Amino acid sequence: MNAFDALTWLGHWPFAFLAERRAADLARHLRAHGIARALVSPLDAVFAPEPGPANRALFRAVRGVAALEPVPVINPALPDWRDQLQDCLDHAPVRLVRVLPSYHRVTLTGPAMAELVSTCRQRGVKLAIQVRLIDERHEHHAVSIRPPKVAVLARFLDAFPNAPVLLSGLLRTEAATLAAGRPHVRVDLAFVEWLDTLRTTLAAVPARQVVFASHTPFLETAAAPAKFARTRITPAAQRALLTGNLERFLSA
Amino acid sequence: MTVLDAHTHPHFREHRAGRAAADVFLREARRHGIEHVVALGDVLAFGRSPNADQLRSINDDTLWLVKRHPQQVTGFCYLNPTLGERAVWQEVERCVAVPGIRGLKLEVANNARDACMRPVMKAAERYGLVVLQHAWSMTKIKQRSFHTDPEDAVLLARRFPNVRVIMAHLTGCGVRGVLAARGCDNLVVDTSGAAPEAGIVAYAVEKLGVQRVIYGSDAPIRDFAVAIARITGAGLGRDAERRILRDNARELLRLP
Repeated sequence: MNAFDALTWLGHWPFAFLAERRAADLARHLRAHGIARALVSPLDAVFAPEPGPANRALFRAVRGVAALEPVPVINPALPDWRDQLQDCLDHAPVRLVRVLPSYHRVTLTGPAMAELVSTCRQRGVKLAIQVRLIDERHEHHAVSIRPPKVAVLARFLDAFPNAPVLLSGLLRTEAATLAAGRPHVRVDLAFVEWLDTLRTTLAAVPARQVVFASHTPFLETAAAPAKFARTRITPAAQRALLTGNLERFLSA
Repeated sequence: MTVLDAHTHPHFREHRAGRAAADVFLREARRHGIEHVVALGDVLAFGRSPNADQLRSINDDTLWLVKRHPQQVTGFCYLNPTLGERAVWQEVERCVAVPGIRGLKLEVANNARDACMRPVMKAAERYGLVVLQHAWSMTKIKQRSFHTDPEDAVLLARRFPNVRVIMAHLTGCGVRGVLAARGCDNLVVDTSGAAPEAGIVAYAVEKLGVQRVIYGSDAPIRDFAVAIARITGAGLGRDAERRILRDNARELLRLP
């Protein structure tokens, strides 16, 4: 299959019995499911006071593992976010950074995000917005976290119509709503599902805006390639979703 | 490997495609190796508490499908227990007159611990029907007055030990739901619900035993291929996969 996975994680998650793998083990695990390359972000950045140490640990972990491309987490709700970004760019070639608005209380329509979008464009870095990590109905009882509202995401996207943005963790209807009429937006397939997922999705979202994602280790890795196993979309569309769209998004 | 899907909704009015959509649905199931499905009806077509006419309309679709595809479809009669004992018995007796109706489906009209469930369970006992009870952890949803938590589904099964109960939505019930189900031998859990969260199927097998886990997709809300991959991706081994994907449900439903 040789898929390019837009969403995987390394590190520890406190609220579920998830597999904790070393980078080389993650690469082998993905390879066994037909995933040749993957973007990987640090789970330990989600609840850390600031994401710097987790990002640096990620860079060290993936060094020498060619199949894994690091995607650091930036927290623009903190006053040092410019330093966080610079630190990442100093450590490794970075094509994408990830923002977790729900977990980091980031105001998507606020001035820090506006500056981050602008800075990323200047530095040739793309931006991923992690809309959800897990189904919000399954969050731990001690935490109160909900994904950003679709209307807020739409306002953010419309404020920067020329900024390429990858939306990760959208549900099917959210992906259709947010991708429609916004060619600068990409949506990943991790949480998108319906009977014959791909055909249903491509009926609502232009194929060039859709990218493959497994969301390993949160979701069963096998479930992501399974969406392609008996689909009736064209081989060309499958190739675009599996590899081409993400590569073009990152390289543009 | 052939598969038996214990949790599907072949009719879905949201598609506005009518009964023809159910034929398309069954063709899609066959394409994924699913030889038999349990059809539960379009249970939220009229909101969470349908009246008697609305229930009959939903069940008429299921009866039509069972008659049309007797080898491929088992039907469950959808009930609203809050309509009262007489309405429950009338609808059960109307449905079980059709061969291939092997169970009762409960959704979110009431909580499974409510007294109005008694005639439902008595009817299940009388006709040897399986009861599939929607369940989801209410930790975050906060609807327990009418929405069944896994502990409520287990309480229902314990109150009626002669009735076989399916607690729907393993992923929604989560670790707490699995732990609640331990030791309740007339209750099995189906693997449907939400995204394919890693680890929960293997956890259920470890805590409940492979014989108490059955495959369900919740299609068309979910993708057959993804739902099957929850099982085949869990690292359980071929024997356990076969039990979950086919044998357990076949025994539960007493299919040939």
